[in-house]
Amino acid sequence: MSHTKQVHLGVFFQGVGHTIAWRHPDHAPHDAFETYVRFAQTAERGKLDFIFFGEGLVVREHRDRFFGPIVNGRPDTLALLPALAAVTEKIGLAATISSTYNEPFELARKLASLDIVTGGRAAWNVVTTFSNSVAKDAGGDQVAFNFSREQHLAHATRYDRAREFVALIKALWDSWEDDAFVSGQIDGAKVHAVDHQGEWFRVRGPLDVPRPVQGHPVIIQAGQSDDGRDLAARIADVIFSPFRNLDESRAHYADIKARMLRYGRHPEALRVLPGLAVTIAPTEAEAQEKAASYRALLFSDSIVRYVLGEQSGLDFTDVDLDGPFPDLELAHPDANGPLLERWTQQARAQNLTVRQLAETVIPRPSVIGSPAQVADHIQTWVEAGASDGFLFTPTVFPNDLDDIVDLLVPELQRRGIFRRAYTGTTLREHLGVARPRSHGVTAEAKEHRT
Amino acid sequence: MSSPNTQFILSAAIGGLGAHPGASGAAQRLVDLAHYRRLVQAAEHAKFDFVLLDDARALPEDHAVARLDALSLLARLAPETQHLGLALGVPTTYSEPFHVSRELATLDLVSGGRAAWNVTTTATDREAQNYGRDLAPPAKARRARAEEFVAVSRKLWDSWEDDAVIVDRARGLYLDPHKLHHINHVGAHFQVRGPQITHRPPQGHVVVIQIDQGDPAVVPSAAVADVLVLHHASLEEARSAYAQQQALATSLGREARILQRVLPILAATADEAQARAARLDAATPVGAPEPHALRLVGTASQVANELARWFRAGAADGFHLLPATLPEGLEELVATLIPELQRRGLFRTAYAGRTLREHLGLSRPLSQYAGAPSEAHTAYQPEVFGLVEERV
Repeated sequence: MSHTKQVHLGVFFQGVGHTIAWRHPDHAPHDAFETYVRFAQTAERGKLDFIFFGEGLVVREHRDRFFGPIVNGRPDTLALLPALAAVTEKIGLAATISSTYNEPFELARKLASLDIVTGGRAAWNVVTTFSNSVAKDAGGDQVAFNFSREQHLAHATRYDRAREFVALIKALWDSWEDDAFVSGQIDGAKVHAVDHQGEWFRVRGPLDVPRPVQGHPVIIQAGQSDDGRDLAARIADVIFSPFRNLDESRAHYADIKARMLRYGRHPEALRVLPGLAVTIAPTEAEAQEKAASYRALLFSDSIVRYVLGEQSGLDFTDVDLDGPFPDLELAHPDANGPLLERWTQQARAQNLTVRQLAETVIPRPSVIGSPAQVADHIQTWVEAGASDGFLFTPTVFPNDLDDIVDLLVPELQRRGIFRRAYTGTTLREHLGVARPRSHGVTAEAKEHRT
Repeated sequence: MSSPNTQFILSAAIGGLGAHPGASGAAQRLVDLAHYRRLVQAAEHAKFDFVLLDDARALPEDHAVARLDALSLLARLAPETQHLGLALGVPTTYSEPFHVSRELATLDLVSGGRAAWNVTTTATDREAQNYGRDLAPPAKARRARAEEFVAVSRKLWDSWEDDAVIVDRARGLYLDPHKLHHINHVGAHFQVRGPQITHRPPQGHVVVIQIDQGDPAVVPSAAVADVLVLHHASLEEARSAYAQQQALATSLGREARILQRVLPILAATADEAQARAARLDAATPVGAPEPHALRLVGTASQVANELARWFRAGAADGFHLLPATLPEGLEELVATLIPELQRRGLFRTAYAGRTLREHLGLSRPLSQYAGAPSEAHTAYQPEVFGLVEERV
């Protein structure tokens, strides 16, 4: 066997907010179970590590109207993933779930159960839920209004709560030792109360569900703030990152691994997976042609106005999209001032119309090319210490995931940097991250009591 | 409206080691997917309307049995079954309607319209202590919260009209913004703006069940639930409750299906059945509560006679069967009682519909917001919260 560094690959089901995909005539419906079945089965055919779903707790609105031109509506991931486990055998199943709008006991038992009924394939992307408007944190109040709360928690408070939330959930998973069943019955000596009394939560325990197959489901973190990176370095098995530039990603990678050492963790215990939007076709020319057709679908007037408004917090409804970038009210209470200032400077410096500026700020495929070209990109980043693999974000489904699986994966396999078959059964085995032992937190909890 | 059906509705409880307190067995099976697969396959083979998997939120004091989350289990088994209704107990005392209604809508999606919800409350202090409280709220408060919880959930299921997703590529509209609705619910226990983030479930509303299982916080009512599972010791009482609930449903323009809880203990002869019941009774721990159900001991034919008598007397649309032991008790029902009922024409021999509502003969509700103007622009007034006095 070659000792070439192996690549880890996940794939994101782009749901709510997706602007291009649904306009493509081949794109599968978001409200049909069969779409999700095909997604999971295709990813498993490609031997990917896991499939991944986001979370949203409000329907997107724009200027006080429900917004028609983007995908809205998604199934609940904790109810969807067990069903997808029934139609697959190996692929990891990752859910995004808020630490701000859930009870730790409730989520601990759901994730433990998910891990058990999937045979050890569960992962949890911990989010603290921010605003649906990138521009203003206060937009998160719309989420709060769905949960009988008057307002969303502030950023620092959310992370404070998240730290206690995750530690408590891990303690609940550890409240059962691995070998708690003896001759089919529960050995009461191997099941422990957690007796947690923290700043945010009081939970007695033990959990009423046994320890998960993986010990702990895989923990994913994606926050880029200092708080987010810190949380990730403490608790995560996988990090998603947004970097598209190799040097930035390498710096981030090094930063995370250094923070891990500070928390006494081995740097190999965590996989860093930047997001990667790829457009792949048998030849580079065909890939460029496909990418151009996607751009044509993307830049409708309503989408441009929506995305600029959503990001900046200001209303672009009446702005002339083919005119010069206008003078905007940077001091408006809803406005993201620094962002608008950057846009204004960029538009002036490069003499861009509003639409041209939008093309630079709307996310789109960053790597376009033949299977060999995309494989080169992946291999370069992994060998440069900028990532351990990638989280793919296919644009049109099923087409783009088919291309990843049928064109790119065989190329990676030929290069000896990606598995030809699953060698393990659990997601931790796919990722090569260790299964946590069962007695650690219990001992820690006992110390607390003395 | 009373049921026009000439055939029973039948459901089966599949949680725990069995409904008889003398049931025993390896607790480990209760955390084993294969055990539940065996149960749902037996129930679907028998053409049951639905199975019910109840749930709780704490390990019992004696640590005798653990469990798996009922939603995770039934969602996992949904693609392995085709017709069987999948009902789960979801407590309302410490949970949020926005989460629970979405989970249920998604179970309905992945099962093709077969989801049902037994609305329960969390009554024990042990469970309260897993949710930051010392003591469980009193029954009255749990009941009020549960009933408001159901109302909010129905609003959230209706907050997307059926035809909200239009995928109009020519006009560039994925959805019709006029077919989504804020629910703007402001009640004593919940203030929820909506809409839900999940599309309307295939059944319109997931089937809502309330069961009289001894919790004073659950008083089954046709004003709240679609399926009421009652327990009456006498046929006369059952008939009177049936008439009362059907009249209530009619007065509210709703439909209700009413089942009686039955714990059958079967054997090939009446004597053997009595002996089996005596063995289970002898194995019952001292102080264990009596099962809250009509106990019928006898041959399949004798039990079928008794069920038919209740059904024909207008005491029930059908029966919620509690197997005395699991999995054997359910498999016995499937092998003996169900064929007996089918021979008599009292129970279906094949599923006629696809969704649970179709099995039960319940219509698919229209969205309560259908045709109403979209309220995306209406102001939400959280200051109303200041008027709310007390929450559970």
